[in-house]
Amino acid sequence: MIDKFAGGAALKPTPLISSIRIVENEDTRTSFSTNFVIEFARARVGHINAWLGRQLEAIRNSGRDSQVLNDLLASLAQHSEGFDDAESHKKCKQALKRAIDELPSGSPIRAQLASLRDDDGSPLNDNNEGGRDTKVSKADMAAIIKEVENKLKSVDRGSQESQLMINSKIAEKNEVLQLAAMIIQQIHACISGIQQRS
Amino acid sequence: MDTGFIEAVERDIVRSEESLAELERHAASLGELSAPDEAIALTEELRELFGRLEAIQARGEVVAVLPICGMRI
Repeated sequence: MIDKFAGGAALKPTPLISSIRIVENEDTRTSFSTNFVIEFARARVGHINAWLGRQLEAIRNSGRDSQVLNDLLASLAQHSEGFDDAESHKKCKQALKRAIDELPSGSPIRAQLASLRDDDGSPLNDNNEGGRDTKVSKADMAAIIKEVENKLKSVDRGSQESQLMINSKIAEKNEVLQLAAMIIQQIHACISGIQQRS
Repeated sequence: MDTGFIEAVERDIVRSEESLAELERHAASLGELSAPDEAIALTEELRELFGRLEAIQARGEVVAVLPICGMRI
């Protein structure tokens, strides 16, 4: 018995294709099972499911980021007219700090919010303590709110794009499973027909 | 966060694993089949099905090449 490709090249059996072999003897026969279709489906479904798992984690993270940014916006919106008092300044900085603290250290949104707290030019710079520079104009507040809104839009857009890709991959997975089932059925019918005729 | 969407995807992952297991059981129940080499020519329908699988595979990474039809999996 010599295993080889249909084209005649020598075939070293692998787990994936060992079920397909051409047997050389007086009456050359092709003997195979449906294992290769199963292996195909298992490989593709496993690959897609692993990918889906990673995407779900990313969507969960996006949901968390979105919630944090929405909460921050709600707090900042209460001071959207600007202010010139230490109490309002403190509340805005506390809201910003709370948002940063709620995000994990590896979050890009956390790093972006941290720049609002740390940059010298930011009206909410955390170094502005002791009643100094507590005046924030309406225009400055509008700029801060706009920046947070843009981050929120970016997060939501990314999540929506992920959902579209997920739907596409699920459709592909279903197609693989359906095709595998149909091929197995067809192969069985084909071989059974041959066996009945012979 | 769209928890409904996430839960639906999680259910789909479980469902597809179950479908795959069912497919494996079905295939195993059929056992190995053999026929004369000349007679094993793939039907048009089977070729079309393989072609569709190949089209799917073309969008992903190649795992191996099936000898009987040159299909890349």
